[in-house]
Amino acid sequence: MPAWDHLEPHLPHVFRFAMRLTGDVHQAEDLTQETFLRAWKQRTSLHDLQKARVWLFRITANLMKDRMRRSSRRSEPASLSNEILESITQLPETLVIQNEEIQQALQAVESLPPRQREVLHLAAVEDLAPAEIAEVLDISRNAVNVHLCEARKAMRQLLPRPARSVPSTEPI
Amino acid sequence: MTNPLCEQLDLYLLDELADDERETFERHFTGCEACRTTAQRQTHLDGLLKAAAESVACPPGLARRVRTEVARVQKPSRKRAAVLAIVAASIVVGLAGRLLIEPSRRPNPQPEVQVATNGAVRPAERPVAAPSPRARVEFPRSVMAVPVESGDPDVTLIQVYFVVETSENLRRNPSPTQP
Repeated sequence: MPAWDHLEPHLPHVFRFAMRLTGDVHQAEDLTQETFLRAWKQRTSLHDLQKARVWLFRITANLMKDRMRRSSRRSEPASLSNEILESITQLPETLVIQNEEIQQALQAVESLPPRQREVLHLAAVEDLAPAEIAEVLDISRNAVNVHLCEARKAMRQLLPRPARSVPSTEPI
Repeated sequence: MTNPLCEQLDLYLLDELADDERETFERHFTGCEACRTTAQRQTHLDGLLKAAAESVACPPGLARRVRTEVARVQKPSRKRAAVLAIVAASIVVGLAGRLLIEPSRRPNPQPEVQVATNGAVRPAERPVAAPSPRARVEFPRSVMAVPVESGDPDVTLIQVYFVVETSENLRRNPSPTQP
């Protein structure tokens, strides 16, 4: 059974995922709080602490599903790009990237269908494996692969190929 | 990317190819400039998305608010806690009263019937009841004790209420014992 100290380090990740799902800071805060309340009440169901983040993401996704069911409409999440760009302060020094490039990438993400955005976020940002993403979103692993491949191809098509050589994202 | 194997690039990068498919793809990959460029570009795109997402800071105070909320639901409500305290105090005082009273109430052992010298049987004389015991329990000023019928004449339940004095009350009625 997890202690609070096992769960709290995942809070920023849950918040980012909630931002991805809701597209709104205040809703994301509410969803994060709700996630941790439910997680704490159901903490006996987490048997493997290594899976805590996946478990929390799954709770977040389920709560979001409940919210949408209650509102009985699949509302499109608000655009995330502006919120993110406003909060960008300083980029990691190891990444030689431009704000403009980030903005283009985010605009490309926003043009994807919601499911592809969620899958892409969990894969690219949270480094989850397709099997874990399938667990979070309660869809098949095959469906995850299809969504992910489509999303990545769309991103590559939507974003202009850089004129100069592509800088490596790996720290040198 | 005209080779159908190029279509498997994303699955390869996601490590979702079966062993035999992976081997076939890797043989293709080493000789396919387009796949190598695309793979490099995809890694860069993933890095962009990660950098953008990680630059979104958690709102200040969110962790503290969540912690507080979790702690709040963990504790029973004040009202419930007060009721539980009263019930517990009632039981303790009731039991304590019974324990104090019981030994002095116990009558001397006597036969229920006595046989008269003439052989007639007559009921035993009723034992003289011990003087009614009184238990004196003193409570501090911070509690209010209210006796409650228990249904058992030997037992008096006492409900104990904790008195909370507000600062306003203390100003109006300063306790002489308070410093």
